[in-house]
Amino acid sequence: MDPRPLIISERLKDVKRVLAVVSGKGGVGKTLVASTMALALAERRVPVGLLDLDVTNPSCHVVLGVDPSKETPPEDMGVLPVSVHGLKFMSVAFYTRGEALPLRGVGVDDVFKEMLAITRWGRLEALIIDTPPGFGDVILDIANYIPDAGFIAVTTPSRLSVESLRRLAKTHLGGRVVGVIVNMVWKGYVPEGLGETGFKLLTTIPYCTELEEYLGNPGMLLKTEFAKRMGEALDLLLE
Amino acid sequence: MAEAIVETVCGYLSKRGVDKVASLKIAVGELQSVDEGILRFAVEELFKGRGVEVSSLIFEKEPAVFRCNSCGRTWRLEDLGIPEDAREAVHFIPEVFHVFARCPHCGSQDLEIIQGRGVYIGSLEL
Repeated sequence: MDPRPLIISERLKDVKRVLAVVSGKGGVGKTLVASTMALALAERRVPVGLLDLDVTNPSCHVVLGVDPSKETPPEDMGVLPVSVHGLKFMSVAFYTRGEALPLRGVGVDDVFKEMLAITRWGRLEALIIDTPPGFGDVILDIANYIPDAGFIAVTTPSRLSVESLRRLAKTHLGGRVVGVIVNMVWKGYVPEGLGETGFKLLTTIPYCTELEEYLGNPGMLLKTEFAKRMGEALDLLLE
Repeated sequence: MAEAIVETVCGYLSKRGVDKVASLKIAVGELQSVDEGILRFAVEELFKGRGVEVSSLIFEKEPAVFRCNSCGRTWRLEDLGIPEDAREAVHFIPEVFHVFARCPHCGSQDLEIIQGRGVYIGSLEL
């Protein structure tokens, strides 16, 4: 008998809302959306957490400018997330020293349960979760172990990515999607196929060339058009 | 961990309307390096606090055994050469051993934990 699942709901009992940032395809900007959304909430003085569950290859710490080899989540009846730029942050990167973690599905499932079981978030208005691409172990675990979690789907205007959204809408996870963010939009083009999914459009984000320069600099990241659009998405989500 | 064990057992007991356990075996996997004495103390105290009587509380050490998915060989923990300063990270998230360990034969990181990962409830008798 695995004792961890029962403690997961206990650990999240004071978290008002869990939002997992998902996508069918990689490279659409999930990590930047999750990190910037959490930073934008922190800027509004909303108690917020950011959990990087891209367990084999986490990168939220890069966006936040955290060196995982120099920080350790403090141990206290479990572990406490690290405070970064006004938000509470947890990532497996703190334990891998920022290196890749090659894992099969059963290992990913174990890391998910372990991280949720050991992390003491305390009271949060929102917990934002970054996830790996696709609809695999982490997404299924979130759906099973965090029943109230909503999904924010991220796509680019590419038909390849929008087709993934259409597929997501047809799965049992489709009902979890609280909205869609279309990233890397060029010439104002928003894909037609989006309407077929029935998902609510939260915002569109133009291709932002300056983002790369501001990785690791949350203060500057919050001044970008990307962050402004994230604010729009939050207004719609929180209304 | 103690909290998780006690919550799980109490959930099991409350579904059956009982508050006594005849025997509870807790397996302690070698990889996670949990201090058995501290865990036992915490579990006993938490059970006391919940008014649950456990007649026999047994902790069983489970040696860690790994199989390489690339070459098929099996290894014990000491064969993998995990650095001492990585043990704390492995204690919190056992799967991170994949970062620090390689198959001694072929060098692959594609290692599978056959047994001895962490703590779980081995058996419970009412």
